[in-house]
Amino acid sequence: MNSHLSPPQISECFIGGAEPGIEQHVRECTHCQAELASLGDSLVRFRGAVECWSSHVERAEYQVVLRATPARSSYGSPRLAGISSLAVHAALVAVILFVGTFHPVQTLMKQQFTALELDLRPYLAQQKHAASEGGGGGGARQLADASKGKLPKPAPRQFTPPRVDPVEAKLQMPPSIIAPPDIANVPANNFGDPLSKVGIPSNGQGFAGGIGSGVGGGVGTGRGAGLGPGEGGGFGGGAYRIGGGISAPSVLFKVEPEYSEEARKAKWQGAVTLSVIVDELGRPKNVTVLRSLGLGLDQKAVEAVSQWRFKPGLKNGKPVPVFATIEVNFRLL
Amino acid sequence: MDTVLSLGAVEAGGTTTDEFDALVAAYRPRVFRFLLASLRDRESAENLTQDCFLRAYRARDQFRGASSPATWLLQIAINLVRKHESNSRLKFWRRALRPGLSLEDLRDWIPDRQVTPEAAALANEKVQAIWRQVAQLSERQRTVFLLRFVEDLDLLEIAAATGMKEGTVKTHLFRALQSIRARLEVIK
Repeated sequence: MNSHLSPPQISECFIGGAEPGIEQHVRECTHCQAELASLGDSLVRFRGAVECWSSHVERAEYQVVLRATPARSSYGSPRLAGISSLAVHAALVAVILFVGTFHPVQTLMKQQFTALELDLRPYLAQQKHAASEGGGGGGARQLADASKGKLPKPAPRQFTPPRVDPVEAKLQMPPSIIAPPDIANVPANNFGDPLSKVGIPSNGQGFAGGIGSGVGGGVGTGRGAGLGPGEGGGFGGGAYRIGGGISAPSVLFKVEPEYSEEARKAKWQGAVTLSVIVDELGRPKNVTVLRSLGLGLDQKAVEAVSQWRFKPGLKNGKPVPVFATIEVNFRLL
Repeated sequence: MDTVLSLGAVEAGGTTTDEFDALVAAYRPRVFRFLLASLRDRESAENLTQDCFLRAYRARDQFRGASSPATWLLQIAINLVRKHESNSRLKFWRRALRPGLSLEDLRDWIPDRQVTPEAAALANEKVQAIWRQVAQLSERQRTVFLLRFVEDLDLLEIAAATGMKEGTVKTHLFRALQSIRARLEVIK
């Protein structure tokens, strides 16, 4: 063992468990002792540095961190926590929904939130809707003018346009025009234009079905499936429909309808729907029953509504006759 | 730091919170030091120290007293480091942001016992060389090296803490030491 220790042997010495011969060499050889001491010194100093550093870094927050040590190992089962959380949320939602069902709350909320609903009426009033002045016309390109006759049934949709000559079909679709339900009609056996002269039965000089000199499936000189000189549905020259620049009439003076004796006895309840034309002065005209209730209540409703006074509907700021639908409720207390 | 705490209560399996507090107080610096040296990141070291004691507390019934509490706690810490390494391998952007390995931090804390400034400078150089080289070591080598030369555990304790065989520990330690000595030779 004259030669000095090789680096691996020094490492072995350090780790421990080196061969006895090597250990003896270390004891004897000063050079190797110095080698080992140098390495040992470096390692010890390294250890000191790490210890010093770590204790300094740690001491800064030692107190806080120590208090943060867990006092409880668990906080209950996660499943239970999930279920209870779900239950709490469901209960909250249920309470909110339940509170929302109360009438005072609803009215309060409506008052609160009217500010959010933009009043678009002034802007809507400026839009021009030709549909508000209804009209229609048609014809079959015949030489003669349209002949006089009754109007077909008014309906909200048109499936078949009217024709003067009867249609031969096993299953007839009754012809209709798009018009308000209470338009003036003439008694006649065949369809025709009520404003025309009696003459040879003719569908008129217009085209695209219907009767008259216009275009489309209606009756008259206009375009569309209505009646009269306008365009679209409805009928021209008469009362206006609400919407499309026409403001709705509002009730100024109201008379409560009386209950009829029969209805009272029968404990009859329900609603009568009336159709009314509110004229320029706000008086109801042409009060007709749209949906009847029976037992004399229809008459009572018509009587009452005939006495009502309205603020007329406005078109471009001027009062115009307007169609209105009124529902009269009959309730027994 | 070699406080030996009587862990009779731990061995009986009925640690109270106070006793565990005492355990934390006794071993916390050691665990923290090991984690700090392993991770070189104060935040992570603090978090993992907390995790380590939390796990220890939850598993305190399983501690049979077969090893010393220090070995047991370090075992948990080693596992946490391993997990942390594999997690942070994905977070490569954090590695880029990490400030330069806290080398300056360590320089301030090198004990100054040298007579001459030259010797002090040389000693500082050596410690920093070791510190740098430790960062270069593989995770196992570093763990073994730190356990042996910073925590001062013997080979059997290291074997118990890392779950490796004694021979394996020795091999890792040997390789670690070799690479560190090679680094030190350069300075000389």
